[in-house]
Formats: sequence, C-alpha cells, structure tokens
Amino acid sequence: MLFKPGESCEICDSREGVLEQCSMCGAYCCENCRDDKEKICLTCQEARCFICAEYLASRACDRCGRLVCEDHGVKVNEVTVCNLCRANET
Amino acid sequence: MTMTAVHLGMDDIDSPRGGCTTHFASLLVEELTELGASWLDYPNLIRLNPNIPYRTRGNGAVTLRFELEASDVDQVLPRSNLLLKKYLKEDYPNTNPGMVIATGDVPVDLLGFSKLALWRTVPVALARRLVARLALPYIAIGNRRGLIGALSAIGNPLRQDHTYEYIAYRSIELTSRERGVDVDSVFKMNQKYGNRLFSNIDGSAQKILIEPHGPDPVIYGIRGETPLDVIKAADLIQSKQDKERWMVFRTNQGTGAHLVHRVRLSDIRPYMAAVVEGEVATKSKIIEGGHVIFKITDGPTNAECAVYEPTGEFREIATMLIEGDKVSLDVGVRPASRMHGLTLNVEGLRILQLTDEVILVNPICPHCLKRMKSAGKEKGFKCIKCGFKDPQAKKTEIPVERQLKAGRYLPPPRAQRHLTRPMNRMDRRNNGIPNNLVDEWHDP
Repeated sequence: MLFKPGESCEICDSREGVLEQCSMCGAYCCENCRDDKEKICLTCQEARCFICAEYLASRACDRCGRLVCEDHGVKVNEVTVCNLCRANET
Repeated sequence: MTMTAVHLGMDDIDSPRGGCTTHFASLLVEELTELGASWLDYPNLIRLNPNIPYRTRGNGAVTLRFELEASDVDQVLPRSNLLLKKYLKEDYPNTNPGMVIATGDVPVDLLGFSKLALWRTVPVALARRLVARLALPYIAIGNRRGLIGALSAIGNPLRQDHTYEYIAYRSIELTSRERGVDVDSVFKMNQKYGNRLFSNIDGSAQKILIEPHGPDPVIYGIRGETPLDVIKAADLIQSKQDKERWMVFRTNQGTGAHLVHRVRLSDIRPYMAAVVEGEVATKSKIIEGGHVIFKITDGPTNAECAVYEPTGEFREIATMLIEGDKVSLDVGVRPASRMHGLTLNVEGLRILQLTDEVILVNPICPHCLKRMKSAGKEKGFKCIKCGFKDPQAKKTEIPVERQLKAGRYLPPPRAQRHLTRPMNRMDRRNNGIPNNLVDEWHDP
C-alpha cells in the first residue's frame, strides 16, 4: 500500500479542515493534531528532546524517563542517561 | 444469564528494572477466571512499531478477550487496578501503565488506531481523545502513554496472519538470578519441531533466542505456528529456574505486520516502519563501530541507509551493493540529530535488479599482446615492451560476475525484530480467529 500524505491527517485520519505540515517531521496534520503556536504536530511535541526541544528523541533516559536526542543523552552499556541526570550524578 | 464480550487491553506494565506486561496479564487471567471469565481467545500479544524511542523492550501490549456475566463487568477494572498497584515498580519514572475496557464488538475507530500504531508514532493526546469519545473505562498512570498500547491491542483482533508464543515465568522474587536455560535442550526442541517453530535459535551463531537477559520474570518464550506446537515443545526445555506459571499468547510476531506501507523517500517521517524502493546511489562504506552506510535514491530524493554491526553477515550483503542496484528496503526511520540527517535503519532487503559490474583495465598492445601503460593524462596508452603508442586508446570494460543474487535478505534471527517475518515463514499464513482454545493454555 503506497503512503499518500496530504489526503488526510496523518495522526487522526480526519479529512476535515486545513491540513498543515509539521515543521519538525513534515507530517500533514489537522488543527486538532497540531500546535499552531509552535507549528509542530502533537507527536513531535511529545517525542522531542526535553533538553533542546530542537531534535526528536532517540531514547528515553533510564534515570528520569524523559526523552532525549542523541546529542543530550549518552548510551553506555545499553543504558541511556540524559545529560541532566549525568550532571546530577557527578 | 446475559454474557457480555469484554476486551481488556493493557500496556507499559514493565520497566527495564523488572516486571513484564505479559506476566501481569497471566496473573490477571488467573484473577478473571476466578471471577467467571469464559475465554474467547488466547491472550493477544500485540507488538507495535519497534522504532518508538520510549518503548521498554519489544513494544508489546496485551489484550484479554473473554465473556463475563453482564453484572460482573463493572468489577473487572477495579480488580485489575488492585492487582496493578501491587505489581508496579514505582521507583522507575518511565513506566506509564494503561488499561482500557471495551465491551461488545471491537469499536471500528480502534481498528484504524491500532493499524497506525504498528508503523507510526501516536500521540497520547489522540489516545485520550479516543477513550473520551468512545466512553471507554480506563486506568492510566503517569503520562498516560500506556493508553496507546492498550487501545492498539484491543483494536487488533489478529484476524489475519498470527503466530503463538508460550511464555514460562519464574517467581518475581527470583528475577535477579540466572535463568539457566539449557542450550542443548533448545537445539533438540528446534530439531524435533522444525518449521512448526521459528526464531527460537540462531543457527549461524549457535545461539538460543528464547531466553531474555533482563531482570524480568520471563524464563523463556517459544515461538511457533500453533498452540499445541509451542506447548509440546516447551516440555523439552530444561532450565535451572523452576516455572512458576506459563501461558500461551496469540501474537502478530513473525508476521511482518509493521511493514505494509510503501513510502517515497520524500514522504519519510521519523520513527516510521516503512518499505522504500530505490537505486543504490553510493557504494557502502564501513564506519567506526563496524556499521555500514550507503545512500539510495528514488529520483528526486536521496536517503542515507544504515546497516548496524550486530546484524553480522547481513552487513556483508550491504557492502556488496553497488551504484545502480535496484533495491526494496524494510526500514525503521531514525530521526535526525545535530550530527546526521534522517537515517533509514535497514532491517530487511530485497534486491530487485542487479546492475552489471565492470572493472576498467588498460587496453592490450595489438603487436605484442601485453597490457599497455598510460601515456599520461589524455595522451592515450603506450606499450613499454615494443614502444607502440595509441593516443586514442581507452580503458577496456571487463564484466565481473556479481556475488549477489536478486532476492530477499534478512539479518540473522538474533538481530531481527519480534515482528520480522523470518525466512521460514515467508510463505506461511495462519488466518482467522480460533474457534476453540486448547484445554490447557495457561497454568495456573
């Protein structure tokens, strides 16, 4: 099945209203599934790095559970620790 | 007596420090059987998009489907909640359990939601909207992310291809000890049951794959085609730790259910599970850590692809691809970071068409039949034996036989996702919801 973006909201599948592209991931989403102020979809809003908010997360921090991008979390022995927890531990 | 069909979905009842949603489900089966549940299906273990960053391990959610006297349905969630509170490891901040109940037929909206959760990321906000709109009773703790898996599990009745997994559990108090699964017993089991089981061993590495390594209560899990196959196969497994309980799950493991969308490279989104087609644009290179990187193009767009070191011999295939080869890749999309753009993590590969590979060699001297040498930039070639010069001569193309063949390639079983359709299931489909359950599918 070929994915054809732009026909409906990529999050809730709604075909109503104006679809706009998320500035972080490019997904087309309806007004219920985006934050117009930040111009991003709700998925990116939840999945972005809690430290920089600039990039999407690659892992959850094993200590605090929050999501971090590759720049703000270090993976040691299969365990990801965010820079904030690392700073607090040292 | 009026019986009501109940679908009880649950997710995120685990953490890297212990617990397991399937183990919790097995405790709940015991509890609900005491309440008078009549089981409509084996517990469904639904694996969701494996590229989600906040999954604990295999991103699996569970649904229990049963009939209960209508007057008892109201008791299900409070009893489940009591059990959940006893079970939770509250010291871990990234556990966000969710449980949802739906009665009667599975709501149509959940079918679509569940399909989305197999290959995309779904925001908690959408799950919350859905439970509110459908007025579904639920329990949600923490950031409520568990609702996503709970709803998705209910919304996937496994009407099409499915498999089974027998999971043996140890006592929750003994989860720090060695499981001690006997390797020989696993290989013997695999030999005896052949193609009726899958993904339980990795033959090339002589490794067993049924034993997890974390502090969870699972001793081992045996994947197979029918409930009886996995139950009988489990009789052959020996381990140091005793089984405290066991249960059979009907699952979407080994079905490739996450890879049903073909996506143009320009439409790729972070965390997607997708199938992309294109031509190899740059030959692969091996980077630090042993990972293999190459680029593909589908015309207007290029994308970087990565084949990681743990995929072992699968990397060799990637290193043999050359520019112009036409491929179809099963990928998980890794989001961009400051260091790199979106990357397609390759978890399967189909070579559609191999391009001709040639090597360029110096032309042969027409007089003495020896290879000539370059006479300098744009000066043609000269023979160092007889002195013949040919300013028009060009390098000759010699075809090289490709080591690769068109077809499907997968990483070895140890590096496959739970959802990956393994080689020995390529042509196999188990369709339909079972009419009857085997007599003993759990204990206790």
